[in-house]
Amino acid sequence: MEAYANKKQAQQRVDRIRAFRAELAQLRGEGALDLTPLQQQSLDGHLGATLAGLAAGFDVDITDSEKRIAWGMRIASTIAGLALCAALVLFFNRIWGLLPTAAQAAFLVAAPLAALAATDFTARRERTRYYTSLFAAIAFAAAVLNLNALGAMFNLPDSPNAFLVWAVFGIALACAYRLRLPLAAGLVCVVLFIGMSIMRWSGVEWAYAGPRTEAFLAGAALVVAAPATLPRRAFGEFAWIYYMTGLAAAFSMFFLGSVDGTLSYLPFARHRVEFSYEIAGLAAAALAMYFGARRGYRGIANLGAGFFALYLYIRLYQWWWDWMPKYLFFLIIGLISLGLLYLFQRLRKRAAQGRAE
Amino acid sequence: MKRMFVLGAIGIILVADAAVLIGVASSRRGGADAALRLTERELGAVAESADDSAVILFPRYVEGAGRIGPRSARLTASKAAELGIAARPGWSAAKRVFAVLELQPEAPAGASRLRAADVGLDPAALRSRYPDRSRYAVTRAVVRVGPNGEAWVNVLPESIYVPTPRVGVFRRYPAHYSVTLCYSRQGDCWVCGAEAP
Repeated sequence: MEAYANKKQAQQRVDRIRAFRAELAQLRGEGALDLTPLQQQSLDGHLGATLAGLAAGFDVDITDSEKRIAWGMRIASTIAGLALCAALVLFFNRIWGLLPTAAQAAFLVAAPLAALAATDFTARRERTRYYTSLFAAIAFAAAVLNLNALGAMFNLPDSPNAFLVWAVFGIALACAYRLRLPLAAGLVCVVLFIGMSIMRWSGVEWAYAGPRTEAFLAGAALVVAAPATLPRRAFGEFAWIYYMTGLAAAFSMFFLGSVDGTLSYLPFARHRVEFSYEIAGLAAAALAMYFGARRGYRGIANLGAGFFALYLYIRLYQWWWDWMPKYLFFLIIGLISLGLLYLFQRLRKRAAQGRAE
Repeated sequence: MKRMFVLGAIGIILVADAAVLIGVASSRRGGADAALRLTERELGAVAESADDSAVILFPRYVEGAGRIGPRSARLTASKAAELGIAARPGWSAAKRVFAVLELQPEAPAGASRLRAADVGLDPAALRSRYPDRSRYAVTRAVVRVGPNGEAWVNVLPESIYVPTPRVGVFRRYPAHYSVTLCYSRQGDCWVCGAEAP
């Protein structure tokens, strides 16, 4: 059997086989293709064995009902993860005033390590990774609780280094068990660590003076550029998470800069800074749409489109809402949306042509 | 490869925790650089609730007395500029500094006696300028300059955790209490005594 690097590739093969079978049945019904019983038997045997092999190796969804149940399982495991993280934090808050300092510290150190051990235990026993993801989320939450509570217990000042610790922990968890959520959380921490560190080096406390957009943009740019430097075979399946996290952070900073120019290091008047960020945000969102469509990253194209529309509508609101008749404002918004629809259709067509070639 | 990442995850937690605990121990080694004996006038206590068993103290300062808030004292723009904090008009800036906390001997009845008396970048220089260790403590602070040029000091920490052995004092919800806050040479602060009559 062909070798697959991950579950996504295996699921794509399953989907192709299902589409092939449906088309084959259609062609036979239309009389365009007639296989001999021997050919049909041989084909069914091969496809059946391939599907069984993929199901055993990657726990892929073979039927529509399996896909629907898998979505249900994902939602249930996400809710369970969030609820158990909240339970852990609230449990600690409930008991920490009753424990001596040494017991508090022991609890805080042991919690992420115990959750990590549970992650490892489940990863060895299940292929689906639902429970592994769940325990990994708890481990990450416990790591965040660990430094937050230690800092509170000893009245320590905030430090960007905490985000470096959480970043390393999240990324290490993600790489060890091939998990997406801890990777995204770790990459968000990378952006925050770099942004806060640059701010502190430049003598600005972010908690009191607000963020400086360029500092966090530097972190976002590093996250977007990271997949180019990582080994493709080992990390290729996660490249889109780097792009999505980095771009979402960058777009958020472009948005912040466009609504409040005082959150910038740029030595220009406030309105010029805001205008520059609007233009840069629109350009970056358009580039993301183009890149996403070209490379087949649907999420990135959607993210770019979402931010592009957001920038555009906010700018139009600021320009026209106060003086323009409301019907005209909405008419223009409608016409622009139709223009965007046309643009997205063209992009989609181009992406489809690219795939066909 | 997987083993390396798992060990990395364990290692970063252990190293970070060790750094915090060793840092705290090292800061407190050799005893306190200053100790201020404060009362309910200077420290508001939030005792345990159904969801949180900790007791937290919130300092109150002369400026803004009667209000629990982070702004400990106003500062002149020229003093802020002396500390290297210059904000363009319309912009905000903030910087970590050290502040001298003064426990004033006299204050109107019921009012806080605690105020930020001075700020600077060098804790040793501040200590030499204010040598009375039962009246002045050097602690961490942030100076913020607002968009209109106004400047103020936020003394840190903005909330103080009461360690478990001293929590009992506050569980009786006393009307009057006294708390001794100790400060290290690095400006760290901790509760080193608490009692209620």
